Amino acid sequence: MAFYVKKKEFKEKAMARETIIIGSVTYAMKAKRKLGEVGVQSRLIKAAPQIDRGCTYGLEFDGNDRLTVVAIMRENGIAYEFRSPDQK
Amino acid sequence: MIYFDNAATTFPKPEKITEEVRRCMTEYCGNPGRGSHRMAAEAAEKLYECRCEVADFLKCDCPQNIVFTQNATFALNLAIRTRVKTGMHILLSDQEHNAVLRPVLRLAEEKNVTYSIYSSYGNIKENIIREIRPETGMLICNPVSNVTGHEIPIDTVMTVAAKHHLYLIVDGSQWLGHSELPTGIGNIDALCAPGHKGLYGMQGSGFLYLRSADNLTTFLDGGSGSDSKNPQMPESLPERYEAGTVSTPAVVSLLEGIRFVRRIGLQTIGSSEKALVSRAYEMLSGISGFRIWTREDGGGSVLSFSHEKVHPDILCNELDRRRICARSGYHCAPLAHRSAGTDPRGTVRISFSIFNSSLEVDIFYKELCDIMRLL
Repeated sequence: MAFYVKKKEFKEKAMARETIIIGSVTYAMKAKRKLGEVGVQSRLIKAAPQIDRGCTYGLEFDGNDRLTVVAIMRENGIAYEFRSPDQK
Repeated sequence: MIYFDNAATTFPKPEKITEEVRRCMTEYCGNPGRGSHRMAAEAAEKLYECRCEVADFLKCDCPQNIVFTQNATFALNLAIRTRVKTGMHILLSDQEHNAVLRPVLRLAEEKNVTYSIYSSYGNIKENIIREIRPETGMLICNPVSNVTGHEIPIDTVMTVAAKHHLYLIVDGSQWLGHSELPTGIGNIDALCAPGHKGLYGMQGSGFLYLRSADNLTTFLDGGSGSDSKNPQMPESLPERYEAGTVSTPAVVSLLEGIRFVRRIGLQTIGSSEKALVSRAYEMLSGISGFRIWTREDGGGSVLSFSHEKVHPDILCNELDRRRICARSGYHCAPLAHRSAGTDPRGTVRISFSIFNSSLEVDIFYKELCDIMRLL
């Protein structure tokens, strides 16, 4: 039972993270910096894109910050796409 | 030792720079823009930090338009070769370094490019306009000569380029880090700079600022870290022009170098260097047989001189024996020597940084007098 609870907690925690796919590491860094300026923490990741273009960078962040992330990306003209939750 | 060859590369480097380069090499020198593990991410973060610092230094809001190169020569080649079109006419000043002249000469062979050299003396605006043809598409300018410190008014050149729709490429090798930058510098189409001269970075550092991303071709093709399945280089800057691994230590040194320059202040650096040029000018004027090729109030941080009888190489060898580093010859800029009239022997050039002092100039003068007495 304890194991089940832990597994569930882990799953919820994992579900809370979201990923946006950006493309180049420079734009990913630009996005990371802009998000950092408004207090949104993010992590650089290699993100498998929806359409396979080869290596692609993205950012992982807390799902609660989704709206802020969208606003910041639009404000700074950074092209992005959300990775669908079922994509590994 | 007295080091007076700062126009070739500044020495010494500020301690903070060597410390940070060492920290980079020992703590976080992953490959930037390849992996996403913490070391690669930290290296990538430093690169972006440096792009932001350079953009801010140039008063432009586009860090992604800063392309890292290993020196100004690479940046100039990149800018010229990616912009040139077959049959284009290029205008270059009579102060250009071989980093400009040689690529243009090669393009004249390869792409049927023609070129004219405009005089940087007198009315610069008229000098340029006189040479413009219907097929002129590019204007290249070196605002401060590496040979004499002769200055070209960059504001005027920018105005002419804008009015006549010429793609303006500027060689900032002896300009950046020595004087306040004019407003509107962001209107230069391509600004090329080494990191290891006036910006106090290490050798192997440099950058190219591109005003717009609408460049046509690539210069070097290879790994870019993203868009890997695309057979072409990515379209977005800066990756389009950064094939292969960027040197993180070199970029870190450039970052800290620019911070150092900004901390000291461009005005302070410029005044200090000009004061040393004036002092050396005054002293050399008092020795018979010498001719000074730099104006007394000359710009930049360099002073060129020659002796009517003694070859510049001999003077420099003698100075070196006395532990004074100066440079003789053509300084890779035959055009500038031709326009200054210093052909065929070239000059002796002394060039200063913020680390030089008037005491060093006094010692140099004393030693030079001694050399002339013995020769």
